[in-house]
Amino acid sequence: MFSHRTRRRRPTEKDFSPMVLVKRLRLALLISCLCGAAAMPARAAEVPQRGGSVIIAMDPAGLSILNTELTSLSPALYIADVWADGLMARDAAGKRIPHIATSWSVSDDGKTYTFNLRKGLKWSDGQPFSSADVVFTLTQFAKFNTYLSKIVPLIAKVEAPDEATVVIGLSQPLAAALDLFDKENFPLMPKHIYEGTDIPTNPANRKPVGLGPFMFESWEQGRSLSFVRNPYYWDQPKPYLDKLLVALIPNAQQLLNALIQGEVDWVQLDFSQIQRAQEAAKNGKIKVIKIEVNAPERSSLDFNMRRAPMSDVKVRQALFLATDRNRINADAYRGLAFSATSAIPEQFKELNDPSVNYDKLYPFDPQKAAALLDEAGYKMQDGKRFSVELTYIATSPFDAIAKSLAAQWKEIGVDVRLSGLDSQIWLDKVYRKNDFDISLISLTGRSDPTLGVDRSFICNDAHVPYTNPTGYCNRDLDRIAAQASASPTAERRALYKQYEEIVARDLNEITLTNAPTYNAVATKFKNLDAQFDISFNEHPNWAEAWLPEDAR
Amino acid sequence: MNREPQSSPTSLSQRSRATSDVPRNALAAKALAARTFLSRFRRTHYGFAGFAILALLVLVAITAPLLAPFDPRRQVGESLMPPSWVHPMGTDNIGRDLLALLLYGTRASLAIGFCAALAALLVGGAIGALAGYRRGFTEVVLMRLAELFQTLPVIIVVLFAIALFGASFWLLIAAVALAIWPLEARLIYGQFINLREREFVSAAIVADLSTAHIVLREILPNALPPVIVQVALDASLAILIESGLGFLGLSDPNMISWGQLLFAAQDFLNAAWWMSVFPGLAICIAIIGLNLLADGLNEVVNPRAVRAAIGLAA
Repeated sequence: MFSHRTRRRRPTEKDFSPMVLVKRLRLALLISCLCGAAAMPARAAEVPQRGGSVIIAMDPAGLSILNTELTSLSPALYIADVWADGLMARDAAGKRIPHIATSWSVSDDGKTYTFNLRKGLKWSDGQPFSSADVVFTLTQFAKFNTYLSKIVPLIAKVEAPDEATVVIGLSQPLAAALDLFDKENFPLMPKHIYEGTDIPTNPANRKPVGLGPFMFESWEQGRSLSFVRNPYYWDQPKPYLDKLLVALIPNAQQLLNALIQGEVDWVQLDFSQIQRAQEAAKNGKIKVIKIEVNAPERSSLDFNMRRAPMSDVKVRQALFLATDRNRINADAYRGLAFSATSAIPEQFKELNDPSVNYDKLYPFDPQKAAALLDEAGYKMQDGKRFSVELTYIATSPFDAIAKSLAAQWKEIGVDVRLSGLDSQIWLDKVYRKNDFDISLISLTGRSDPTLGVDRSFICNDAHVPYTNPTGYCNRDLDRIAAQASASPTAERRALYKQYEEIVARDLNEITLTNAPTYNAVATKFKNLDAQFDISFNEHPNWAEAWLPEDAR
Repeated sequence: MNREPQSSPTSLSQRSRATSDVPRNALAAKALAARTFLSRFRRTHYGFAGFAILALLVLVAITAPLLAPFDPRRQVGESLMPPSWVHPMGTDNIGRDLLALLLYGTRASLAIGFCAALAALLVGGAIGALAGYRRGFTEVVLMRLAELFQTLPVIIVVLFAIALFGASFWLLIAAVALAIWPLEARLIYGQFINLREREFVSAAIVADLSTAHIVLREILPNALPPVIVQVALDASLAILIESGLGFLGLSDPNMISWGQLLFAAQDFLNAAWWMSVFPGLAICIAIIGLNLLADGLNEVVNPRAVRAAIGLAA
């Protein structure tokens, strides 16, 4: 309104020419229309409207199937929130909220789990959903699922006493069992599509049928995927949006550019882009959202303990002392992460014991590191003690972390040979062949140490990707981990304290930083607070957000 | 060796200055050839400018430790500092001095350029010479092989080699040479086909000289001039390929090269222009230098073609 007033001038003769008069009339009409249109959404703001679409964007990085029972690739996980659903989800504080299950109970001995399901639900293809689908998913898919494989050996029985009840019996208690059954780890799959087929090659892995708010429509390889409203979604009248498009853009900077220019509406931000996103958010068109309770994302160094000099604990401790983790955070994470304090991530507030603190045990101290290496027998000769290979995936932020480490360790006479590789070659080298000195990677802690942390420290003879490649095996630690996984929450912290102490002493893997998760989203959508009421590995499912008519 | 100077024109001058007296003394001929070559080269303005740029780059590469204000591998300041008096080109994303990185980067880029071009010359030259001299079955096999390599896009060949064998300095040179050798092979092959029919070659054959002598001492020196131009162009191609690989994050990370600097710069195009502008300029200058040099050499080797190209031919 103010701007209109300032632009008004005294009429001059010229202003009364017929053309100008027509223009003025048009302007007046336009202003009155705009005011009317602006007033309407203000009235309608409380009532969500149907219509419009959302474009989410991500780096496809090797995306080949969408079924997240079979893959844990990031883009597949982002997309699965849209088309798949599960028994439970989590709110922003990490509290479990009902989705397909309306309620659940755990027996006092921690061995029997009973889920009561919603009745009369349908899959996105219109076929009825029942407890048989849940049983089928657990019995048929668990062996392919990185996270569920943990629970498979413990399952004693899976039963569906009626259409809307599932009872799962375990042979021994598992504290993280409920976590395993949430929608991120255990998306439900339709029995009528998969029964009697070869699951890994079923075409539905690329054209999924699920219980989520949107229904798969098409996939243009390397460019985009399209989803439309699932008419059978359990939480009617949601979703409000008619359509959801996934734009596949392989570069972090281009992803943010597209968001700023209004070409796409949502991205998960890479650390190199967060500052620029915050800067761009000042115009009000986009918003940066920090996921407060996130699945810990921790950059870690694995030492191959089968080889000298990494086999010497003094060497591993010295390298930790020579590492300036604040500097790595400042450079590679633009100051947005923090130094990890122990093996158990800080996000697990009820489990992490703060008395074990890497910042106190291994503060950045090159002199002490050098003294420790002298003690271990690696004396300085011609400005060099020994040479090690550091291998990593040649992308951000690993490239920056590796070069930072090389610069820091050089100061104490450790010569670092950098080996930045393609992800497949790196995976093969580190986890299948164990042919490495030191390996750098970022590992997700999921929602419980049993799911995301144990894999780095407990004995491991298998060559499964992202599980302890160091050759470290400590039966005491394994026993404590097993005990902690089966104990009630109140007793777990004491066990994890011992766990943290053993890891802090042996250091087969050192945790450098713990990074938060940032999303950026276009502010033209309403109800974003409810949409981003999520935590851990969850991403927005776009069932809550809606678009006012004038923003479409 | 019973040498016949008249029948073995070993120098440029004899070939291009057909009307002048043929020097009797081979040494004097060589000296004269070198002198005329240089004086002609100096008169080609591009060539001389290119030579000056390259000489400067080589000087920078050699004296990098003296010129660089800091150790390029140390974190000497905060990350992403804009250009200042302390860091004239700013710092990179982990706080290393960009000027020092750029100066040291000259070494890797030039080394890869020259070594790869030289390797391509040796491999391509040997194959081209063999095919052109022997003809027949050898020619068919070798030249089809060269064509096969030429039909593959250069960058694909290099990416494939790097993916299979990893990216160390020498492998990188081998991979680049593997991609560009057919250029040399075809050029030398053409020269050999042309020259082996000349009288001086026939004379050498009649004189019962060894094949090695005929190929290496009689034909090769006359076949080389246009090839030298190609070598300069190949060197610039090799520098570009290495920069491209570095930009994709596939170059040897232990080596400081201009392309590598660009890889890290990608994510900070908006936040830190200096990270991409200075390495980009360096690559540009080296490529322009080599191309000018090649132009100059070409003008000396093949003056009529150049005049034709710029519309001065009669």
